[in-house]
Amino acid sequence: MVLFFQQIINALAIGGIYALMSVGYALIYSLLRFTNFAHSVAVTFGSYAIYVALTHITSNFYLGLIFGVLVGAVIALIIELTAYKPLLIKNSARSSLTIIGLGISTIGTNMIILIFSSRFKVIPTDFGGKSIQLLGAYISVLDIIIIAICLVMLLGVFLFINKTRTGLAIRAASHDLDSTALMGVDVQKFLSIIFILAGAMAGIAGVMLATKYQAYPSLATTMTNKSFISSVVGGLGSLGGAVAGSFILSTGEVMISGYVSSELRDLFSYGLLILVLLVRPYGLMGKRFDDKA
Amino acid sequence: MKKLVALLLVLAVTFSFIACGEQTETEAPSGGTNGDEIVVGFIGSMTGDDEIYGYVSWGAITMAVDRINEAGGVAGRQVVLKQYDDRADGVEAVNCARKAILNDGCVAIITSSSSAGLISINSVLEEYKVPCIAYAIGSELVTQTEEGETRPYMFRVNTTASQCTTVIGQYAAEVMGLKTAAIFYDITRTDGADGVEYFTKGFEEKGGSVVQVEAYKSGDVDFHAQLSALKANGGFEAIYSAAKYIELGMVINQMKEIGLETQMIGDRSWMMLDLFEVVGDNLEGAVFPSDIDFNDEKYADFNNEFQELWDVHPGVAVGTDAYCIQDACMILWNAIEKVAEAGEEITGENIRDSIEANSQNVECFTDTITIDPQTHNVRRSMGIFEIQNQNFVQIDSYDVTFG
Amino acid sequence: MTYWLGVLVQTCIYMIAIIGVSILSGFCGLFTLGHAGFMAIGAYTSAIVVNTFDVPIFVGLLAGMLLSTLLGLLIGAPTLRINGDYFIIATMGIGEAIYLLSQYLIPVTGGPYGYMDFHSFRGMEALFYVVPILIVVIVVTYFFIKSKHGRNIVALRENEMAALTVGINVYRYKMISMGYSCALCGLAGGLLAHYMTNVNPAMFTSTKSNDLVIAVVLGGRGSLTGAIIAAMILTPLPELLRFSSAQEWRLIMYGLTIVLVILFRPTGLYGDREFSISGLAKWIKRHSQRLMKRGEN
Repeated sequence: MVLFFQQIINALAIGGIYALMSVGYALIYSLLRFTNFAHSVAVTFGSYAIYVALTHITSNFYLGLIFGVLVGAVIALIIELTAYKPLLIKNSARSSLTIIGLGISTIGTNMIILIFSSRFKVIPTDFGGKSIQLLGAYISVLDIIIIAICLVMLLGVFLFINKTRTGLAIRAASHDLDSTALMGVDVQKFLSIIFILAGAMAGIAGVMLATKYQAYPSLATTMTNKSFISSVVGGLGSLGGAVAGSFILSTGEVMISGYVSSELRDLFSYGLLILVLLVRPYGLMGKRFDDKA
Repeated sequence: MKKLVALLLVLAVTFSFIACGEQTETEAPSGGTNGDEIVVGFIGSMTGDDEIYGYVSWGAITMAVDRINEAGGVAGRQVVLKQYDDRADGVEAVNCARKAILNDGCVAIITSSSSAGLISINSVLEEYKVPCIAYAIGSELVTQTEEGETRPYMFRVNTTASQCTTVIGQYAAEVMGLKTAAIFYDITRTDGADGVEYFTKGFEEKGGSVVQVEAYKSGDVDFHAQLSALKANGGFEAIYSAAKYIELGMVINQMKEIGLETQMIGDRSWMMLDLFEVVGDNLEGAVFPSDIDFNDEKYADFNNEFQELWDVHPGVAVGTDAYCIQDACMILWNAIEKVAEAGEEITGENIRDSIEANSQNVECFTDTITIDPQTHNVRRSMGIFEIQNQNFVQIDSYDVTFG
Repeated sequence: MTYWLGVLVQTCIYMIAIIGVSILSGFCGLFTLGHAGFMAIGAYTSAIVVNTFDVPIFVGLLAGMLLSTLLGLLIGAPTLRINGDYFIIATMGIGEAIYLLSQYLIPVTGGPYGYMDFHSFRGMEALFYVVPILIVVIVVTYFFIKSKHGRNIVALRENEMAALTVGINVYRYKMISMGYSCALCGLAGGLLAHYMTNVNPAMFTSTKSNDLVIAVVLGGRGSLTGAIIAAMILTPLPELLRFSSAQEWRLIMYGLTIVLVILFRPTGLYGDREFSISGLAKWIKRHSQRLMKRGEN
């Protein structure tokens, strides 16, 4: 029983990080209908931002976190303005956006390698392995912070989407971008807002990942793949689905790894993905985006 | 017009590259010596994730070559060293080997990028009859085929997995008195599977039993699930893990996070300088085997020299590479000297024969080494180390005479 | 076989794979990030079949192609019905899953050691297989895209809804594209296995899948010539750039080129045109006329 509880804790911590990334990704997908492969760039920059912050600027983790958020947001914005916006204006095929995202992801990862070298960077914090005990299970202090921050962020985003005017505009736009523009919403401006939001979340995710594990260039790519899977499981385009999918994925991974076989863990993730696509492609809460004839 | 320019640019670039290639081609790929020179090829990962390994090995081998050249060369000839980057990719390794032998006329190759790479280049070596000495890879299949035949052109100066890991397995049961152990291994690396096989063999030979095995993948960062499972089942007195580098740090930290404390047994990759950067003092009391101890007095001068030249301590990343590569060089110099003494031409084939026949009790950089003519594996001494106060302390030694 | 011939063999092998991916991603517009997985299937199958049943390499290659195609169609059947973004993620998943299975199924694939010591090409043999096969592939593909089927595939890429309304069986053509691309990748994989003399999982990672797609995007979506040129340039490139940090700079250049291509010339280098003699003649005529006009002024 203790093991089960411990595994649940493990799942929550990982799931929280997946959720941060998937919500950012789902946000962009629900509005613009494309897979933002450059998402992992914001995460990577977030990871290295905390490294730079804590080694050169400050020793306060939370200041570093804020720095990471800013870096993530700024990077996402830059990517949007230079790469995505020109294509969106031209109303390019969605596949072009996807591929350009891939290109940006390649540039980003290799730039990091050039600047920081591909060796891992340890984030100097004093969380190092400190845990508290709860009902026989160990929860590391860092995990508690991660879970807390994830919940706060997700709550914040949901409130923003559902309770503010801008949020209303976003929800409208996810149904129909053009009509929303006709209603007088400055679409350009709030596209940027979306990317800033997604970038900020990616930045936090990057900081968390780097602190919990270590910072190295391909960390983000592996993790963002998991967030794609989470989104698909939960339903591409649905924010709630992204969160649900993240926790389903992390719980499944942890349980398979702990109870069945640790070798099979990743096969489970991809198997789940394929299963969902075969049986219920729109995921749990996905929206259908068919052309209207 | 735009398209024409684009097309012409493309063609120009392609042709200029091919032209460069042609030029190298015409520089006499004689597959032998250029009269007064002995050309030796080094293949390593100079770029990419494993860049640091290549860097350190390259640093050490250039120092070895400079040293021998200053002393008059090998058999009176200067050694010329050529570098090839295989990016730890088996496909690349084959290209590098071809380039080394056919374009640059290497008569011997020294490399240890990856076991897959070494196995891939074997056919190139056999086709062109050029020997290769590996200095850091443990898997059996580098020198032996799956049927047990020895690969004629492949030699090795470091202990194999079956030698090194079996020894630590035996040590754990026999000397440390452990009865039960668990294994945590990397399923995507050859030394992961090897670790399971040989540790179990050595451990069970001396009366122990392996009670649980958990796996992970290279690139994984989260081991909580497996570690929690290990902790819940309990029933073992130690965990053997060949986790290295990044993963080791994360494994140890996560073990601490979930309160899993036990005797740790490692493998030779733990002899690395920056181990404590990642694990801090969480590995106190851990025991592991290693061919060499880079803190040994006799390496002090070398370490300083290396640090000055290359800006980094040679024990970083994979601690033993820089030292074992020198052994490989000295076996090679010895073999070439013997070929010259016998009055024969210095060709790849003759060097190969010489390595096989003449590598008995050769004084090398780290130890007196013998290469078994049957298996092409090494006979040398190795040590067992314990981590005390973030230091490697040798607590025992073995002479490896089997395998 | 000399070094440069080896590079040539590799270029031809990857060219086959790139042509395959070009049909699916370029002509049909369905991007894939996992086709290295189908190369892996072709590679392992061919090696295992040749080793276990002691048949000529030819048979192994066919077996590899067949299994690869079947698996591709199996996966395509459900995923091609829904929109393209799901398909991309699905292919990513497939590529990863195949990589993992090849690590895990040690008794079959040899795990991280890979599969080795099977009957392979000796010396120049590789060239005698690879070059004729490549030529056949190019010719077959050329006729395929020039035919009605080829045009239909392009039509569905441009506007699926419109294609449906004129009676094109969109789903069937998507499946055909998928099958064709998997077949070619499987063939390329098999050739690679016998050239390299061993097959291991690290040869077919997601990076390799990305490389295939990058080549198609740069060469031109919807152009066979484009795919050929892209393969000719991009495959030997790592060989020619062997200085420190070259790998990272090379990848940054690729990324940057993709970004620039998509922004300014989304149809890629060759767009949807093919190289042809009459095209060349027309182009010369057009430009010489222009030059003459300028001369007059």
